[in-house]
Amino acid sequence: MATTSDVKGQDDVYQQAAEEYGTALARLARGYEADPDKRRDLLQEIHLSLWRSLEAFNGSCSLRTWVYRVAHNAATSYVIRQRRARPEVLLGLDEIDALPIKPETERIMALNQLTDLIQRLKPLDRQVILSWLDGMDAAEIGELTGLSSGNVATKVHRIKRILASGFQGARDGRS
Amino acid sequence: MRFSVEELRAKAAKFQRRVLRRNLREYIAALVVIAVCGVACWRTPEIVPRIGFALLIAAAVFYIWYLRRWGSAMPLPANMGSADCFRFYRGELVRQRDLLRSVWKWVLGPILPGIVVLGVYNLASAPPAKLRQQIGCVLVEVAIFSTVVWLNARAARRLDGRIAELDRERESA
Repeated sequence: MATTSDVKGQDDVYQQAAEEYGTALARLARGYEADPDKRRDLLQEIHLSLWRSLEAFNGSCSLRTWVYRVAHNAATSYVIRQRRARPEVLLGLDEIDALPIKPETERIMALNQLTDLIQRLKPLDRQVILSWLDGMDAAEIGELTGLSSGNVATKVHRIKRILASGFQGARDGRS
Repeated sequence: MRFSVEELRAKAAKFQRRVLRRNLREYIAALVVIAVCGVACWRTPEIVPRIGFALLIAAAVFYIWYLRRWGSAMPLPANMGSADCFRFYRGELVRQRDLLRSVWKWVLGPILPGIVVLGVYNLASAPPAKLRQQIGCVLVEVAIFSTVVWLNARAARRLDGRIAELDRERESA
């Protein structure tokens, strides 16, 4: 049974994690849920999972890795539940590449399209792109996702190509 | 958006209460089955339907036991932070698939003996005028069972496909 000091330690570590990674977690939730109300619920679920999981945190990995794993895993559980209620086809990175570009102003198109693309991805591809956009390198993404460095490098290369072709399409489509 | 620890504790407690309420509803439903079958068993003079009702009571008791054993309030996967995303996602899909496959073990299997005994007795003892009606009831029961089995098997196969796809994706470099 957890002692008061154990619970206090868990609360303190959670406060530290929320302080350092709160903004990143909010960004991550945006990558998993488009609806603002549902996104608030998802974000709360992520924070709740994080707080509860920290009872078992023993420093086997960095706090950062733990936080991101819990967040992505909680969000993946959320996606699985949503798909049970409302089955939809999620896409891989190679299928995303073939999607048409919708004409909008350049900056808004870029942000909206990027968010839309991410929300349509399968869980593992979504985790790679969100982690890459958060500034993680291939090694960190590999540790987080369990994918090999070669696999991560291939996915990151595809992501860069998709982003480049998307932005280029926006500039061409503006006129 | 920030959440205080107090808010999270309150949310966790709310989830716990919701799951406990759901479990309580299941217990009450099982107790109703036990009560109805118990009364029917007591009032029936023939031995064969008594056995059928007793088997259904045993199935309801098993269900209550199973729910207490496995239906814990607000389970949090133990590996939420220690498992990488691939292992966690694959584990969740496997858990769901195995749950669907085990429907026979903890839902359909236990109630089947009682239903078969009562169904056979009703067919054998039905007067000729009511035989068609009894056959119709049996066919409806068979259709319901078969549909539940088929739907669960189909969902389990779909999850098998997703697990295999995930394994292929991981192996590709």
